[in-house]
Amino acid sequence: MEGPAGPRARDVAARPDGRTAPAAEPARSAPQVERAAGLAVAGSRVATLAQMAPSVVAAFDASTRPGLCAVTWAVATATSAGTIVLSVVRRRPPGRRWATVDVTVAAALLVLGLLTVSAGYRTGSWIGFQGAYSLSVACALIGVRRRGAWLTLLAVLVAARAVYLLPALGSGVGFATMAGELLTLLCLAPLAWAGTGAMYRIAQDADRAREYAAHLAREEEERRARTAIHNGTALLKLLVEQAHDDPTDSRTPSQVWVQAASELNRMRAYLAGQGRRAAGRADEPQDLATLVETVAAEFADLPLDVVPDLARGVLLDDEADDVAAALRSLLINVRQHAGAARVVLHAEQLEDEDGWAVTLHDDGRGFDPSTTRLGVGVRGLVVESLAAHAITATVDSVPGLGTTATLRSVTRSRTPTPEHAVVAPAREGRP
Amino acid sequence: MSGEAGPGTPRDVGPDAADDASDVRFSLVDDATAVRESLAVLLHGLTFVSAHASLEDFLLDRPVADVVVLDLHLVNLRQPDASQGVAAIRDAVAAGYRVCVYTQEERRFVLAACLAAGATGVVSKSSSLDETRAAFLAVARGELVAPPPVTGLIEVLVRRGRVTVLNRRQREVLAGRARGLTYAELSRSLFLSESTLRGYWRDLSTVVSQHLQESSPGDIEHALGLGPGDLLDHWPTAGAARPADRSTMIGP
Repeated sequence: MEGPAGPRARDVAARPDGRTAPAAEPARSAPQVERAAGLAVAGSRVATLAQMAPSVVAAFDASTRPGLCAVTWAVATATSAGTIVLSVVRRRPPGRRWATVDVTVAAALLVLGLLTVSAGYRTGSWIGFQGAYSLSVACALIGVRRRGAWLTLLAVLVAARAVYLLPALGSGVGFATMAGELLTLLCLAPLAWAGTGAMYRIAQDADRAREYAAHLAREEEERRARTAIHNGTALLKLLVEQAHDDPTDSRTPSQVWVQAASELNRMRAYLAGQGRRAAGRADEPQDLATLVETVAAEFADLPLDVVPDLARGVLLDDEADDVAAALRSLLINVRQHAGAARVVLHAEQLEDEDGWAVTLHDDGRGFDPSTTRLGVGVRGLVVESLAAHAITATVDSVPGLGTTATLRSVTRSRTPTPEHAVVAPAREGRP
Repeated sequence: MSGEAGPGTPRDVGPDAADDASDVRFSLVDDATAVRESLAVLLHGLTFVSAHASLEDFLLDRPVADVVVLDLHLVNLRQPDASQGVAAIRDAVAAGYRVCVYTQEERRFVLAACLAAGATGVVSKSSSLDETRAAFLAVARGELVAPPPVTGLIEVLVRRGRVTVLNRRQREVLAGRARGLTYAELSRSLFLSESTLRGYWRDLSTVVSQHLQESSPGDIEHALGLGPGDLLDHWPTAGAARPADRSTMIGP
């Protein structure tokens, strides 16, 4: 089959731990369709030969030129055998070159049939095998995918068939019979060609979809790899820089060592192919306030105030790990670059919308967002990673004033209730 | 150091009287000798009219001061019976002084309890000298001064409808402060001048302080989703100081 074949994508399969991995055997649909079409062509030619076989002796007896008749049968058999072998070995229907040879032979057999087959046997009899043979050849053209070439070859066959039948008009073959013979070619051959083409296009679409899924899986895996190693790399950089500045200085905050060990475990877990969450936690939603407090506890060396009260009861599902990784990345950035005297990590359930927000503010040196590109960690682990969960991440900074990073997840807008109104009404007594 | 500062006198300082630091008079109550001797030197530009080891000494002296800077922990071997914690704050407030707690205490419910006892501000001893100076002056202006974790508790009270007389701008300022934003940063996002924002904060301070002082521990526990009795050891009770107040906030 001559259809355009895209680059072979490595198939992916889901593993029990939820990660994706290359499957052992690529499974593409288009080659399978090609193989099926090839077998169909081979099968139809075998069937034609089988139908011809019982009539071979009768054909020689009925022919006025038995020698030439024998040659035509031999050529037809050899050509069919060639088509069968070619289709089976190459696992697809014959291409344009062999189809041209096949059609040429079939057309020649039809013309020679004028000499070897009497008019009365040219329709409705296997003694005049040429008609049925030309039909099987026409159906074998499904491997020729260029429309022009296919039409040309089909036209040759139809013309030869017409030449084969025309002399029989009025001598046992009526016009209706002749038209029916030609229409058989003109209907079945296009039907086979179009049906095969449709199946091939469906298979190509399936392959493209599979390639796209594999592409997404690769991107997800790369993102997870970045997630696994970025924070650890940043911590190692911090430790190495300190060792470089003063190898004798042992004042590295113990929390940094603890966190480095934690990141090391995270990287080892990734390399070992373990799932992202510990066993038993995969389906458990996490409380946002608890998550924020847990992450903040890893940064005890920072002057960090945690304000999580308004986020209690906000539950995170699949996004919890990515939110935690994003917060770690942001806090490592603060540790490395901000030089802050005060850092505030605030989490809340939104007041006027269904959703939540986490704000990380530091009063450090800040930067100019218009001239400073976000680092790999913030761009990859925060913005891109959270975007996959429809969580927006923004970073606002003013040189000399500090930096504010906001993670915000809005599921849908909500009409403000009286309690959430801008100016809340006074209440009497205890609620 | 002494003076006739009757009840209410120190609070007669107008909101803007503290704009000029030299006009504001501070008095320090701290049991640590080093702090008493050094703070006035370190915070140059501020006027400390007196320094005392205990609140009892301070009240005996009654200096003319706009703000009394009060340490929370005042009991030591030399003064085992000294008043401290919320009891000391209430006594100082009852004497007519504006109180700024200056402490190493970081538990937010304890710090919130200080505001409930009448303190105008709570400032950490770990703050930089510039932050400390600015915070003391803000208290002198009548502004509520509290770290973000305490401001966050106030935000919870507002969000849950316990503190209701706040307008949109006041709520925006509160939300910003609870997130650690400075007036300069809020000014950029809200398109208001810093002095306007400070005005909103002062108005908000009055409402919040009044609410905290009038609320029972049960009210606050309910609003914050705490269990019954969780605040009992920290929160000042209404009316006269309990004997237990003398030792509250010292334990873990």
